[in-house]
Amino acid sequence: MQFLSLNAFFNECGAEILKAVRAPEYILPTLVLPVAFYALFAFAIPNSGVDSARYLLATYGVFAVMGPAIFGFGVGVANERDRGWLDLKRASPAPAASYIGAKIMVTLIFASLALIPIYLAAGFGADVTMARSAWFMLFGLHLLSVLPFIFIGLALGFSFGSNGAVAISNIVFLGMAALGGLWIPAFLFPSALQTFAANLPSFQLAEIALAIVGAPSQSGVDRMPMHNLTIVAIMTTILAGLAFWAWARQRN
Amino acid sequence: MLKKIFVITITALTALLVFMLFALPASEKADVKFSENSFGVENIRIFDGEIILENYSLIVKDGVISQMGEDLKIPKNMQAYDGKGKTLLPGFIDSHTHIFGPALKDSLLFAVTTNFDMFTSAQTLTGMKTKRSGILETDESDLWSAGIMATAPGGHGTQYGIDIETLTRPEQASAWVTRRLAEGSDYIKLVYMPDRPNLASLDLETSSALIKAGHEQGVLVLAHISTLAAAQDMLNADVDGLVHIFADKPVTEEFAAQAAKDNVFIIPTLAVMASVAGENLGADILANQLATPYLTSAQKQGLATGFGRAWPGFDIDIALENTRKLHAAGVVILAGSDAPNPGTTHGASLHQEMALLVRAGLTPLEALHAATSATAAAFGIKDRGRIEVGMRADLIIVSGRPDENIAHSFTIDKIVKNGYVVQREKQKPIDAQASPELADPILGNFDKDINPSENLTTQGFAWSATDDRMANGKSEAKISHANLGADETGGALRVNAQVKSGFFFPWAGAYFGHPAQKAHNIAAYNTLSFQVRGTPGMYTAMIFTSGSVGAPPSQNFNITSDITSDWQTITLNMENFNGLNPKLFAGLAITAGPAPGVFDYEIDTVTLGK
Repeated sequence: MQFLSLNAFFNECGAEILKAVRAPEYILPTLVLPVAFYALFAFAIPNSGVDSARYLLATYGVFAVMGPAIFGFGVGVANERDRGWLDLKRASPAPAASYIGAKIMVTLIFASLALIPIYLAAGFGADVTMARSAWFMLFGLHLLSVLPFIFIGLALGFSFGSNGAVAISNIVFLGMAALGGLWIPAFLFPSALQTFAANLPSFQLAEIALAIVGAPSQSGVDRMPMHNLTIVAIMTTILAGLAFWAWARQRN
Repeated sequence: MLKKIFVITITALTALLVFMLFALPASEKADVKFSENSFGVENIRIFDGEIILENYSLIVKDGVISQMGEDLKIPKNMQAYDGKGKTLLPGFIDSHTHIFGPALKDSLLFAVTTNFDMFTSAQTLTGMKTKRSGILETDESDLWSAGIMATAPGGHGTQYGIDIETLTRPEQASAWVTRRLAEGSDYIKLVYMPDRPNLASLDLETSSALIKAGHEQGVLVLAHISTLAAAQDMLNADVDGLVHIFADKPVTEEFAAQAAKDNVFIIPTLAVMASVAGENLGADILANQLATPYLTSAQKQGLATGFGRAWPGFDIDIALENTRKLHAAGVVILAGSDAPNPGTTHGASLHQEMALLVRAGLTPLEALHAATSATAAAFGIKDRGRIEVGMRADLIIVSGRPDENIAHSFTIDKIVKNGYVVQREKQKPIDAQASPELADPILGNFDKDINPSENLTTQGFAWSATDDRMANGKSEAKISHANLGADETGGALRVNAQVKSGFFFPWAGAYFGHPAQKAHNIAAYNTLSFQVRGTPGMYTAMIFTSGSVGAPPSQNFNITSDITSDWQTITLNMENFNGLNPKLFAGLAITAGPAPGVFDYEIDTVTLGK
């Protein structure tokens, strides 16, 4: 048996997409909410000009990909585990990597679907203009931002039952968004909260995104995206280890 | 089948993404679009907070000074200003103000970008810290504040109608300080006036305990004093700063040496000292053509009013001399206006304070230092008060050379707050704000009952009772209709007033006003006259104008007859209502007070005359 079979992977991906299309009530909110929030803060509120629309594009992009990652894995894996589907999978000839691989691929697809309306709203609704390279880099970064959250989702999915996972995922999701400065800029926080925010991957990812869009730094010191990237890499590694540990633990 | 779903989805999505990313609006040049609060200035003289730098250039990026130098290239697509012949300074810092109403807006229009408040209501502190730590566009100056001040029951500070927690014992000090810091106070201000007759004060033990508690909780403690002896007590108790100069006695060499050694700073507030001493310097600002166009009518009124009389123990010459000696001894002197006390106003009075520091003997450069970097250093504020890389872009460009002639501080060309240029427009002349003429010169003959609905004049004014309970005082007034008036036909207005101490300037009496404070023009009239009789004593007439705050223009008059005697006619000249803008008349009060007592009096035929 191959470790990775393309055929099995493609089939798994197709199945995951079909599952989402057949039960859209699970995935729709994570696609619609971010753009609704973005539209509200970027242009429904008066006095928010192009500068703030560009600033918020950077942070709401991170927010948009968090939903599919945390819920898709946290709640999705917990559900399948509860119903014994995971045990069945393990017994089947399909390689384990294609199960996880397909989930990641579908998360990327839904993350893209959540990002597209925000980018369209920013570019054509709020007149945000950037260098072509910045648009590409920003989208690439937003897409890759799913990684740490996937590991968070996996750790939750392996650790909690389906009911618990829903509750915990929500808390993590909202906490990461609000405290990471994705909704309201972190520089408006009290200083203690700002220090705390720096420990969240959402904050670090938003800082990189803000550097890409050229948002003004509030501290007077220029942004250091490479520094943020290093921190995110370390955090992601730790979270991957955590996810692996949670997986190993539930097996026994 | 499942495979097909995936392949179609991923192909369609990828195509859509690529199409979108190429369709989104892209700027021609890569990444160089400067934010609105970024700009450069070339060939300018700079006062950096300490010294003058000739022929310098400076770049502000995102509201922060990012580069400075003699050969600096301003990026091509950045907004650039030519500074030839002009001087750039840090935004001014007023180290002693009281923030009410539009104070933060008013002060920014005179280049005061930061205010250190020395007593205001706790509510004023809401949002202050968030605002000053951000670098956003604003039309207000930033604020640091003591919040409410530490004083004894009935002491200085209790007279303004602000809810204030007083204290009397040293054991209360620590918890009192904790509560202030919880409310958001940045430092503690206490009132120590043990040698003022008729005014309660904290005692030395309580004051010392407050200083100790403040230091234990990590904040500065400043003291309001008015005599050398009180200042000496505070110095011995390890105070960090004095918020006024004392003007009762010349400073001693020992005091000056001790203050210098202990690094205690002094905010002389000479402008308000002059005002308390009866020398109204507000008139100088009103006469300054560089200042008046930018003052609101409420500010003009504040500048024109005085404390009413010269107070003993405040000698402006001693104040100036003490400032000079302390400065010469090496004591840190800071510029603070104490606005909006009578004779001063936010913003403009800080410029006057710098001029007074020069009059006291500082050089113009030292006076500028006292209004910028010295204050930031004294309060431990790191991001302002200097022109230096990394500093917040709070700055001013003036067309003169204030470091050579301090009066040039008024030659404001540009005010920049957080990197954004502040819109500074001349106030519209009052004539443009058309207020209707007050057509009927008879404000009250009381021929009918004083039932408000019947007594409304044609223009909507009515008589009512007024007393200082609205300012947390204790005086009480009642009005009623007296049947026999001065003209012996109709009636009169009868006032029963009990004036009690509890407010600094107690009052109780009758008020004639427009319910919506709508402005009316009474410029055509030169006098206010009325007939009175009643309890002999001193009374006060006050005129209120629309939109003004603080003490109204007033005049005192005496009643000599008693309530059963003949009527007495009082005629007051409009000119003597100092600071009155007659085009904004909104009300008039005829009250007993400020001396306490029981007053019964009657008023009739209140008339404006030509």
